[in-house]
Amino acid sequence: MRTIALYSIKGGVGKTTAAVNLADAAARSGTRVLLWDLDAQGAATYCFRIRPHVAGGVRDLVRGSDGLERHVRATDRTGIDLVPADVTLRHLDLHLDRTKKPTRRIHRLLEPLRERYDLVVLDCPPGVTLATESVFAATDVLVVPTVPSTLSRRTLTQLTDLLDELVGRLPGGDGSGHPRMPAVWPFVSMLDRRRSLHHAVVAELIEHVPALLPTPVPTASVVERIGVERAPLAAYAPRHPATAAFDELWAEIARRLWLPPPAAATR
Amino acid sequence: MSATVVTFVGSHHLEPEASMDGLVERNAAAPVTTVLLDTFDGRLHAAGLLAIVEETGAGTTELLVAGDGAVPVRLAVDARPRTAADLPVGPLPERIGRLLDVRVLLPVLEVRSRRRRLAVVDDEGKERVRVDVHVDVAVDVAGDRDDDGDAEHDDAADGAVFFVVHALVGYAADAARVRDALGRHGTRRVDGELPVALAALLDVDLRGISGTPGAELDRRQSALSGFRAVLDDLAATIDANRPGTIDDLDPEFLHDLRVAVRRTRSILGHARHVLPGTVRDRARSEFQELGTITSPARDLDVQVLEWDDLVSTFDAETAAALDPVRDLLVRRRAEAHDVLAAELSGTSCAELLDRWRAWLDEPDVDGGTQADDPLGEVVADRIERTQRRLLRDGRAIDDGSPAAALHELRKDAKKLRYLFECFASILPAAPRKRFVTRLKRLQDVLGEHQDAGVHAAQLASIARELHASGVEAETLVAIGRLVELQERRCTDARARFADTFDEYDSDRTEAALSKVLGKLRR
Ligand SMILES: Nc1ncnc2c1ncn2[C@@H]1O[C@H](COP(=O)(O)OP(=O)(O)OP(=O)(O)O)[C@@H](O)[C@H]1O
Ligand SMILES: [Mg+2]
Repeated sequence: MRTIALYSIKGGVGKTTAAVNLADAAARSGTRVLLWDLDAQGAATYCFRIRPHVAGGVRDLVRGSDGLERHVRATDRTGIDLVPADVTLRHLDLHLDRTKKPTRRIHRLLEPLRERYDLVVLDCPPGVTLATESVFAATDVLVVPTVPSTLSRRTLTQLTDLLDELVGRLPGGDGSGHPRMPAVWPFVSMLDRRRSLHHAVVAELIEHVPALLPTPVPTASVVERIGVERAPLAAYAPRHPATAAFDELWAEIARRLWLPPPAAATR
Repeated sequence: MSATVVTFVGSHHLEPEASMDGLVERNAAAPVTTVLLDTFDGRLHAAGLLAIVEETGAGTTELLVAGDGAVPVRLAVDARPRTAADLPVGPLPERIGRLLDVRVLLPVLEVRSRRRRLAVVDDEGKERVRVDVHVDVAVDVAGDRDDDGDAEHDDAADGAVFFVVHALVGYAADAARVRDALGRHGTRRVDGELPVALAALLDVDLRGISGTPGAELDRRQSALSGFRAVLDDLAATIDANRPGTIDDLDPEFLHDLRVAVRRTRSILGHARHVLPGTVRDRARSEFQELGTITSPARDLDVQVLEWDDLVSTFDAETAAALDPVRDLLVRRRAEAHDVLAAELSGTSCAELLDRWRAWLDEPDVDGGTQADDPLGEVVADRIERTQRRLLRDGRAIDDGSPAAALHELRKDAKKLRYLFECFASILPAAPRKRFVTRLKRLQDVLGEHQDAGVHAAQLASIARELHASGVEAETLVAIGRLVELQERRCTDARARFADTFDEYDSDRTEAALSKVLGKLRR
């Protein structure tokens, strides 16, 4: 099981959109996906037409008394299950803080589902909170939607600084088998090809951010319709370039996650 | 807990929507072909996995991979996948590839039908349970899985309606309601997806055909009947693997066929006083010939299969220089398979197998002097003698012995191993496993020694050929390194032999063996 989190310090950059469509692209290539909606707004939950309801509220969820499994709902898309959010998630930090090792909580809750899923996708709220640290400790990769703007590189730098700062604090650097800091793989979100500024920013990202996922997601009104259609893009616009972009983005992520790095000796 | 997917079979056309709230049509009736895939030996089934391909009239092909209680996945594919390499990069090829190894996926059961897709949908527009309704159902069973050899099974499905109810995680109550409603309509309930349910209705064994000897024996039965049962089981394995070998579907067909032939020869060798002499002599020579026919193709299979591993230790340049060798091996392999296919599909091979199985089927045959002895005693004697010989030959080997001496010892070990495998059902499990583990360790060293030696010689001869045909010097140098590698493997195995044999020639082996023999003779 691999875990990726759609994360950004900034809000409204396309995290939920990517979480929903990457989960769908993954499932359509044969991956068993668990999408966990960690945002009290429940946007991902809404996109899959699932009732925003956390049985027993966030308190039971965090405690994990009956395991995360009891919260899991199958979506209409084969291969994607979802842990829904509801408004009680706004107290996530509060309840995490009451547990023993709050930063390891999400990891602990996912552990029993290791054999059941190939991929966990975490849809995170923006910002930096205790829950953020718990997400970092649970994930292999932070997939970071990056909107082309002159500030986008600065936002990425802030994120890596944050991770550097946390490395010292989180259990992990001590070789005890604790989760370590995730990799950061940004991608360009909401690219408008008609704007020359966008081209300049993308060129700059390509040059300075080696881990950048090379496929940009274009701005398109069909993407905004997700909230109306309440289904991933592929369900209502299978041949749209934005759908293809998410598919290609997923293929790149899958290659990085599952293909062994090219060994020196082999052809 | 109920199975995730349950099929209900109704004998008349039910109107499910009429009896269930919220059940709506998602897809109108359309033709679909549903094909259950597995390896010849049922590896997915054994692992609790299902691979089903759905081909629609619209020309789309989807692969469904599921397992009871497991999260299913569904993906578009260009064609029916045969190997893990036909699947997109990600966890799925990894998950399935580990199981398949060198085997390919083949159709087990093919269902043609018209499918309507229904679902119970809530006020958010979310599906809570899915129901596929199949009518006009016709079934094809793959020839080798079909007991009565009757390819079409229209009668079993004739006029029936199949309701396949898919429960969704988190919505168990909705699925239960649908199942209850369907159950009330006098339907028959079978767990599993449509092809699995049909397999159950048609008595199709999803376990597949394994190469492991499976004769069920009793140590008190007569030696003649026991030996004949073992030989019959082996003959069935040869027969079952013959078409797949001829079509060169995957290397395991030839492997299993060849091992069954060798086991047959070996058991015939042990059957001197059990089977009638004339029958035994003739069969021995015929199966020896059959075995010989299979050798070149199998050798080349192994070389091609091991190639990537072998070459992976080299740098990229050396590896590239070896490409012509690989190409040659691949070509040779194809040629050898063509020759083999011609032999195996020829009349003499078919006649041999028919005659042999006819004799094994005869109710009353005369036997040798030990024919009526209890099977357990005869097998115990054979094991004891073979072990004695193995120890004698092994103890005679020292650092100066020729390679041929180790090859002979390898044959002794194989004869012993085949006895343990073919008569496994009358041997006590625990000491049998202990003994076989020890024997296997010895066999591994002997096998490594011989295979590496043979490969080195074959590569050297390829080098001579390529040299004559004017190949690049780099290639010849690279082959030289490959030959060296194989020779080193051979020498290493030789060096390990003495210790490995001493380890085998010990009280612990003896203890396990005497437990086995004691039980056989009791
Ligand atoms: N490629 C795109 N083209 C057009 N609109 C987009 C695109 N991606 C996202 N949007 C729109 O931008 C808005 C924000 O997207 P989204 O909700 O995915 O961001 P988010 O980072 O999850 O936001 P939040 O921080 O509030 O969770 C939504 O209205 C969405 O429809
Ligand atoms: Mg969001």
